[in-house]
Amino acid sequence: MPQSPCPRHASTPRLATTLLAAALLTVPALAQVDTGDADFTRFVALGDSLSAAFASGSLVITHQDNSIPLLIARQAGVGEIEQPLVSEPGLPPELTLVSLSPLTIAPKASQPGAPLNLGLPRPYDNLSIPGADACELLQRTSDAGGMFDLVLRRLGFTAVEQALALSPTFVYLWAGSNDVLGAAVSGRVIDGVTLTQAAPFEACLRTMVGALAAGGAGGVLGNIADVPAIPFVTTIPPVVVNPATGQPVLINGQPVFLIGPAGPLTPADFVLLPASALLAQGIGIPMALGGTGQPLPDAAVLDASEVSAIRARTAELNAIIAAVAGDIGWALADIEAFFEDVKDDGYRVGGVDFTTDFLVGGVFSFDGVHPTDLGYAVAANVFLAAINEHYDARIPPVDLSPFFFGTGIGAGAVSREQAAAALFTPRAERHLRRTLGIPSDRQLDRIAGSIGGGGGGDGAERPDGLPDPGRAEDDAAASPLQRPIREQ
Amino acid sequence: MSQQAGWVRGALVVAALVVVAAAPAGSAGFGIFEQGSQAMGMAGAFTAQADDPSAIFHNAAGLAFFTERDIMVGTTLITNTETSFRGAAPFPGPGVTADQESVVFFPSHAYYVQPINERMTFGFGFFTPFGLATEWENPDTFPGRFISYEAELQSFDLTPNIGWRLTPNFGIGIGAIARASTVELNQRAGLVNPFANFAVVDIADVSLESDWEIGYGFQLGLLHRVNSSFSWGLSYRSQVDTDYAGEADFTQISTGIPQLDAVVAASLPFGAPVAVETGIDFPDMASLGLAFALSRNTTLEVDANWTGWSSFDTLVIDFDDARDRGSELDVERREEWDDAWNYRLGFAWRRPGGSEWRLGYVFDETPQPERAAGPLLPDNDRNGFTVGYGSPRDGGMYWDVALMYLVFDEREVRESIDNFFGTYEQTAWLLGITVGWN
Repeated sequence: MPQSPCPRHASTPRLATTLLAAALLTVPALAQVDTGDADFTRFVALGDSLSAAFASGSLVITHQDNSIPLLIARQAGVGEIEQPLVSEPGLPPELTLVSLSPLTIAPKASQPGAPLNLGLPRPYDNLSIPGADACELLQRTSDAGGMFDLVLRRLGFTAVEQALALSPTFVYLWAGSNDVLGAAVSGRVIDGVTLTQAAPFEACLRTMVGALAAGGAGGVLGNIADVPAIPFVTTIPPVVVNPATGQPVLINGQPVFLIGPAGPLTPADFVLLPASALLAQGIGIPMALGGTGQPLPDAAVLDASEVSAIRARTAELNAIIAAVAGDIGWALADIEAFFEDVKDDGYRVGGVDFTTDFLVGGVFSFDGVHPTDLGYAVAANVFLAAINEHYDARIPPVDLSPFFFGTGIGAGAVSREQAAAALFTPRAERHLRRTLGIPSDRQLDRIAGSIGGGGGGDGAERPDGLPDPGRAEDDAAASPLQRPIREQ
Repeated sequence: MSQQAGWVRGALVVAALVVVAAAPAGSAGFGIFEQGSQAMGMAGAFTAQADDPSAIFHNAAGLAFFTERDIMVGTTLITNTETSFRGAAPFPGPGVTADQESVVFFPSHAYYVQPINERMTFGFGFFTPFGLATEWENPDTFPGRFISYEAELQSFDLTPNIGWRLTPNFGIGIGAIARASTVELNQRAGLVNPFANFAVVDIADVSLESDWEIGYGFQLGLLHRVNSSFSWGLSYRSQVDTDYAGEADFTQISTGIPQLDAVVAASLPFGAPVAVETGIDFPDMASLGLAFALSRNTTLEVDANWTGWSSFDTLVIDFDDARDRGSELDVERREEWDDAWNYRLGFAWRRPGGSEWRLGYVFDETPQPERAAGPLLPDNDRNGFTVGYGSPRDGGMYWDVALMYLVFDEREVRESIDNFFGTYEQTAWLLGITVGWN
């Protein structure tokens, strides 16, 4: 029987209040760092999986030890902060590269790790919740044994409420990625379902920031990167590839496009990373080339119009984030612009170019969505640069050497073509889809049908009245925390 | 290779022994200004005097005033060079230190001056106007090894000149330049390792070495000895563009994992040299000097030198790999150097009997922007202090010696195209020795 992450003893508001009050007595001493006009006396972080240091499909202490909020706290002289740590091999078990030939990715263990500090007598300083969108940080308190329960511990308070209980003097808030990510990783753009509409996003963000800044706290907001440019979307080409050479199969000098749900794909379409398992079965490949001739499901393809819709919505949400930061007087970490540079030109460290390429790039982990430790450290430096500029501070950047040189052995010199041919084991593929909260086509069809292509729906828990795609009726796709547990 | 080509190559190798690069060089960027010990004793403030055969380097118009044959040879011993590095975040991080190897270099010079008639003089010079050598200790662990752990640029000029005295106190000089040079770069190739949390590991040693190639240019000079108390000079040396062909050798570094090594072996062109092409546009230079006789026995000269270092904009290395992987190996570094000035002040005191003591000071502005400073070349503004002594010029053999202490401003790199941050400190001693006959 797997261990529950939810402390039953901490379920009453009275006790919770006591715990929250205790937080005020445990303020860490600040080291001597010039933080300018920023007051890091009580530093609190809110966000999603990116701020929780989720990597390779897992939340695990080895990566949490290098979460962006923790790195910022260390650099700002705050020191260590409290996080909802999870033991190895992670929750769910971390994906790892198990073979070069064939290139195979799989969970590194069957048993998940366990929460390590559920008994902390106050809220965590890093209240980032994998899978959370902006409104959920403001309004959700529990998710039946999922990541919300791991972080919020069924105290009956939302992430924002727990953050307020810590009386923050400086707030880190990077939310919004999950408001567009759902569309990219599910291959389905359903306005208001997989893609949050601008109005509820703005309402939630303004409410959240207003509450957090009401006590005079300073802060920094992060904006949303170009989700369709992540390796999860860009790695697999939309054409048939010769597995022996890694090069496109040419007939009469022309590449042969894979079969998508609406016929042959086009150069502007993307095949999502978990489709590697389907392609290995011949799905999506014409029979003439040895495939089954069956089309790839919609969930495996992100077409050009869907990419355009995601990018347009991302631009809308980023404009809102910038406006909110400006209105409240907080710093803005322009993650979108930074990621755009990395996507176009790579990120050079000591003569080595890191790129957004899957497996070989060094920026993204094995799930193709979340950064590596070095990627997180670099992102932390983008936040620090924004804080320094806005608050006239001189907080030193994070030292990248430990992430650059690491302690590993050997070299993973795989080509881009090989990386594109990486095969997720069926277990890894399920694992990946579930941890990213990707519902099935059938689920999305039901949701889309129920809302008539617009708002509404049957998910009463979302503040905007819409169902949460991460908690559709198949609860195997609903709870990132429980799913791997049930898998055992 | 033909026998003639082989002979030429052999001769160039011999020449390289006396024109080996300087590190740190005596002039900012990768220039070398120490091409005669008399001038060196006055920190190179010599454009308006140019009264020994090193005029061929400093101001060819000085040739116009020679009345006798003059031959001069010498070298500049560059020793006790020290370059240290302290890392900073974000990479390679505080606590990281490194030093360059302390080595001895001796860029050399030789001049021959022969009057043709009362108004015209021929001069031929051999000198080393540019050079660079950086070699970091412990290349296996030096954190900048993926940029460069050893680099070298060697060059020498062969330059025939004519000096023409238009009036008794005004002369011009013109010369052609044939500049032979070669470049070498050694670095490590690293890749992220998905088996080890995407840390970077060494997978290959890459050594690139060009052939000796020749570029051509010209130089001009004016020298006006207005009266016994004042003279001025102006000189200009053109830009010399040089294209290099050469070879790159890739040597695999085992990861200890056979399966990985096999993948690496299939990814990089090990086993056979890969043809490479690159090029350097050596900058043009201009110098204005004003010399004053403060008394019968003392001379003061002030020079301002300009170097068009903006020609060093981009360093491109094209690999021509037979397996069509060249484009992935190609290098394009945007150096984007700036034009730069240096200012030289020289003083000479002639003793009874004709020997001479000299002092000098030079402030040399770096052309290298902060973002381009790194393990390949960590240049910065520098101050040089010189003292020199010369024997009497009374016919027959003469000699000059000069000593320069060169101290660089501390170079703190907070902006870097390689994201390689830290602080460099450099100092160097230069000893010049020149012997002549007239």
